[in-house]
Amino acid sequence: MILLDKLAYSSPIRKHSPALKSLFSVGSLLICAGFRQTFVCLLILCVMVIATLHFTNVSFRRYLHFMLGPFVFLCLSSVAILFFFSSSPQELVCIPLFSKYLCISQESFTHWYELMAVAFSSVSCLYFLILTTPITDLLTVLRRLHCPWLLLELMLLIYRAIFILLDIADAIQISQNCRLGNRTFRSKLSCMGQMLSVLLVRSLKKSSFLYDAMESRLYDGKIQVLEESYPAKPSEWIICILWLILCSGLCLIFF
Amino acid sequence: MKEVLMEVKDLSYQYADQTLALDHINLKIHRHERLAIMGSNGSGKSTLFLNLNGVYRPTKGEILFHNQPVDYSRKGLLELRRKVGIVFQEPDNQLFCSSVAGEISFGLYNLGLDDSIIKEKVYDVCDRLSITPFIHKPTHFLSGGQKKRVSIADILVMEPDLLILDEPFSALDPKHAQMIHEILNRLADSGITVVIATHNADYAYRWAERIVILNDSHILADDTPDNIFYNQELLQTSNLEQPLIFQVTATLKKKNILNANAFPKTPQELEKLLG
Repeated sequence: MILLDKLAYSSPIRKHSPALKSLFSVGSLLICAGFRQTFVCLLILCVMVIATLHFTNVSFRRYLHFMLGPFVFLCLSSVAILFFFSSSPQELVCIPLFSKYLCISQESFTHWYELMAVAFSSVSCLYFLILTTPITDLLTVLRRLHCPWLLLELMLLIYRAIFILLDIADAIQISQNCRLGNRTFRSKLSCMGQMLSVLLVRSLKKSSFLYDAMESRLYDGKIQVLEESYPAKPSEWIICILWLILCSGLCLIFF
Repeated sequence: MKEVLMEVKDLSYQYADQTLALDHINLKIHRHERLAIMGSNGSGKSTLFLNLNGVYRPTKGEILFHNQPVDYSRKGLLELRRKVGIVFQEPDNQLFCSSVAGEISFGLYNLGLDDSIIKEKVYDVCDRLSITPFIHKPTHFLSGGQKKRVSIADILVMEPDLLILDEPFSALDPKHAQMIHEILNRLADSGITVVIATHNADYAYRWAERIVILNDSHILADDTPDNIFYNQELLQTSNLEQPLIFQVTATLKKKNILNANAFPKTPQELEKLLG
């Protein structure tokens, strides 16, 4: 979480229009998920991987590492789509299991790799966005899209609170380790429980402090703050839109 | 006679859980004076401050600002909180926004100013407090000293008449403490009335013109730094220590090395007196 955030802030295109970056990433994502064209998905995946590696300080190794999480999750959850039980071994691959067979058919295999392509290309689109655009900039975009105030304010406060709570949790864990906590499974459980209860109490206290501090700065129920704006060049918009048209066009041709 | 900026008359404050945090407090804060409020933890300093800018409403008694009783209507509170700013002890309890410029602009937006004016004021205050080099960094990557400066800028940008700082030096390294010290001096010289709450006797002695000691919800003493720190009995009850320089001077006076009327406040002043 902190790593992703740091990378986003250090991205060379951090000071480019967040609206442009969002359109590029979310637009591509919608094409992937909407048309489900495997070839286009793979094209988008390649472009996103190249763009992410080019426009961020992320090495290829680290990028693979980032992808590992979604990969494991997808593999585990797509097992049910790939395999099915059959009574006769007349499919592509069949493994005898008790009196039945665990099979992969041509159809289920196609379905599986199409799904994987859609899922991975979508993940790569989102990685591009979060690795180049800090949350504060995304909030600006959402505000321009007329997202409800309440949601935006919650996002702003939660985002800040995450870092404060992570700091506290870190400090508590270090102090537990210094006093020989977290050594056995049992003590890990009890330390974890204690930490969570302290975090809850602290966060309640912090929130009441924060409220007082905001009140004393004239808070009247609406949070509005200065936002930085980074306008994009028309040529950048045109390239982005051409890319999206190209992808959708390809989808329609293959359809 | 100095002009009275804020007057607290017989103020008591009781929390919802019946704890009496302030008990019949009487206090006058004069314009352009350097006032330090001292007292051990839990003596009621923070509660007093939150009463002063209207976040808490006194259970009993009243507060006069510019000789007018505080108006607790929405508009009155807006005006009071703009004029009386509090910099809280823990920057993390004050900074809620993840961008520095956004954080500093919050109060100004609540005042309903125009975007262009807000931008100008924010950049100006960042310049004055040397925040500009990290203005584009997110709040959670700032160091303690940087956060402290941002939390001062938060308040200063609203141009208050009275600036209250709660423990401005806690958890700061000497370099940042010196920086904050210079900022406080500059502010006091520019005509803002600065009140600080601190445990640091050395600093209070050096900086303040007047010290108020709060102990167990009461005001125990309200006097010049020299008189306060001379009174051993008072220091004992309020759990305070004599400033180091005060102790050194007392020894020198006892040994007849230093004139009994001399009250140096810094090592440099002492050196000068010794010739």
